[in-house]
Amino acid sequence: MICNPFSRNCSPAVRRYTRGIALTMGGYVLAVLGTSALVHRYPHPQGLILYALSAAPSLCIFSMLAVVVEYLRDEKDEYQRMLVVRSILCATFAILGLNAYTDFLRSYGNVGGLPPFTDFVLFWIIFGIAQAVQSMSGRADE
Amino acid sequence: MNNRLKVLRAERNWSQADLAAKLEVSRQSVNAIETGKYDPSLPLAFRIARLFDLPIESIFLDEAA
Repeated sequence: MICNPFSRNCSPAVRRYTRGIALTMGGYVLAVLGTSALVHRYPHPQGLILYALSAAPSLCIFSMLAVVVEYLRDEKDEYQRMLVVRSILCATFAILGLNAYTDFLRSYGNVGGLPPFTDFVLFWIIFGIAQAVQSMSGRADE
Repeated sequence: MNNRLKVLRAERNWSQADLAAKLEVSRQSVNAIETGKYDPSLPLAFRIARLFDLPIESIFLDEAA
C-alpha cells in the first residue's frame, strides 16, 4: 500500500495515507527523542509532567491509527480495502496471541514478557508481511 | 463465483489496466475478480454490468442455479 505520494499510479487515498503515516511516524520519532532527552536530563518525572511526557509519543501512535482509519474510509477500491482490513486482522490476532502466550509464561513461570513498546512495532511488521504475502499471492495468480 | 469478465474484456481488446481505469479500481482488483479470488460488491457488479451493457447474471454466473 506504500507508494510515492507524488505518483499518479496510487489512489488519492493511498497518497494521503502514505503522507499521513510519514508525518505521524516522523512526529513519533521526534516525540520519543524529545521526551527521552527530557527524562534523561530530569530523571524520574512525576505528576502532570510524567503524564504529559508519556502522552506525547502515545498521541502520535493514536494519530497513526487515525490515518489508517481515514484510509479505510477514503479508499474507493473495495478489494484494496479488504486486503488492508485482512492485514490489520492478521497483525491484531498475532499480537493478541503472542501477548496471551507471554502472559501465561509470566503467570506460570514468572518468565517471558515482551520488552516495552514491542507490540506496536511488531504490529506494523506483521501488517507489512501480511500485505506483502497477499500482494505476492495476487501476482502468482496473474 | 465464476464470471465471464476475462472473456468479455478480451472481446473488447481491453487490458486489465484498461478495465481497471474504466471501473476506477486497481488492476489487482480486476485480476482478483477475474480469477475468482474476490467477489465484487453489488454496486461494483452493477458498474461492471453497465460498462459491458449486459445484465449482471450474464457476467456473474450463479453456480447454485
